[in-house]
Amino acid sequence: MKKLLVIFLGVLMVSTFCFSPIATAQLNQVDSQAASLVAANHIKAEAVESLNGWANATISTPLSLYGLDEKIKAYGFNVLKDSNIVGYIIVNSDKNDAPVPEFGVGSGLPFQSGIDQARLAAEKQLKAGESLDKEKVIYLSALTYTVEFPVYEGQHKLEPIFVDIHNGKILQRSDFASVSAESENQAKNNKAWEHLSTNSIVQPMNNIVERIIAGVPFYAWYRGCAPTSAGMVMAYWRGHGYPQLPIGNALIDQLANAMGTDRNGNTITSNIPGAITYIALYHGYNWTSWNDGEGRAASTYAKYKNEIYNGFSVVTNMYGSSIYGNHTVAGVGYRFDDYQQWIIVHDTWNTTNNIYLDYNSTEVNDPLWTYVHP
Amino acid sequence: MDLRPSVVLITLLLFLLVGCNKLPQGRSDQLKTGPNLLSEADTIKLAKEQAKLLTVDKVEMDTAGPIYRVVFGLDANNVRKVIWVSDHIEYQENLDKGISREDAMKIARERGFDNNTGIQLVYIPQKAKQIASLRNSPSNIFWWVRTPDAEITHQLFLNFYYGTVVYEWEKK
Repeated sequence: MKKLLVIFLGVLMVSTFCFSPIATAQLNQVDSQAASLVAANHIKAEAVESLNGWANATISTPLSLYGLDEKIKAYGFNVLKDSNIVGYIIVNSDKNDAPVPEFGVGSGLPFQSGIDQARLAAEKQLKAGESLDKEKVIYLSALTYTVEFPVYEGQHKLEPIFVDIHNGKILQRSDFASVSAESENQAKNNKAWEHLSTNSIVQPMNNIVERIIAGVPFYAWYRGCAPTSAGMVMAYWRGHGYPQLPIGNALIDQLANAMGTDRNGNTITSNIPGAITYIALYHGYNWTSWNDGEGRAASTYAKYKNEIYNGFSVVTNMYGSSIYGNHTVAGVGYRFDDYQQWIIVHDTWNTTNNIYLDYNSTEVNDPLWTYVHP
Repeated sequence: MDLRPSVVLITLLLFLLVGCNKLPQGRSDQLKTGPNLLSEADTIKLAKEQAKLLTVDKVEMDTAGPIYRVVFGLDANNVRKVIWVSDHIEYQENLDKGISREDAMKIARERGFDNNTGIQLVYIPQKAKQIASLRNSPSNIFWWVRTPDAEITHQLFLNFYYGTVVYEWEKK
């Protein structure tokens, strides 16, 4: 009996160590060298000259970006071509999350130009005898950058000063919402890490598949994001066999009234399909529209892709998005390769260009598709 | 079988703990999408309390990116201020630091806009700038001049501080 107990305890200890969060976290940690390889491979994978001009581009030395726990959260790289900065890449340091949470074309790491201004803002907070040490960039989620300035009074370390890089605002620790690195699509992330961490040459992705429904209008926000976006989806059909439908503000007014959009521009999501079918019927057309379930388990990429493939734009609702909060946009296309999946949307924040959102990231976070079938 | 009450209790507690984390998704009945705004009355109250406005001239909407209410008013030091409010104060600036609405409209008229043109003083945080020219601008405040319908045919973003054209787009 004693023997059994010892064996049981032994197994318990080993399994506790192997599967403990600390052990798992260390296994999944990426150093700057490995991150540099991922960034370099990302350039090769994305080097579609006509899209981003990144053919034969190189990366800068890595810049460490930190979490609030003082651990390295990610690495930032400028993309260089002929000594010019032509973009940037951020690589996560934790393999539990997507390898490249964000990259940008055209200009360098978005926070670099704001560091000096952030330091000026931090200096204004100092009391007599206090001084600032070298700053650290805090990176909690895509497009969110904060600078942390350690503060010293002589040799004594005080609470640091945090400055929002975008507006120079002083932040407190309590201002930071907790961000979970846990991904809902770990298998896909694993595959992307494996591909981008290879030492062999990564080929440009010639197998990128992109499909966009041409002719969906761009509407600027009016009365609410849900009626505006549903308006874009419906207005497309006016030129495709449904000429009685109104367009623009007139259509959005009707949809907002039918959805019960409030004076602040908020709409209850479950009202959207009924409003769409009601307005279609009001103009003489018998349409169907329905909501899928909330979250990636119900509103899957495959279902979205299938709708677009068959020519139906999707009213795309997102909850807790790192960019938008709770927001609705018009889904007009998709783009995917072996490693990443984007949805292409018309957003009320940009009335001239398609926006690409990574389906597996916190940009989309919790999706809910509203299907519209004339 | 000897089932002690403490074992049963612990098992039940574990079941509840695990079960609560595995609630199925799919709720959509009361989910809302839209901006997180205070009512106009609460916005004015907040601007008076926190930004020390004595009088409020008007409240408008900023719909260029994240949606804000925009409060124009005068503070105790006789400074004309503009304040962007969501459910809290997002940003504020002295109105006299930039070009006036009239000057912005004058520039717009020179570029073909008429008197029916819509104009907003907008604050777009760097992370919300989706147009490359705006992203590359050091300013986050713009005069946004645009044709009035949701389907915009001509729009202009002017740097609030200098009146320079940051972005112009016209449907061909």
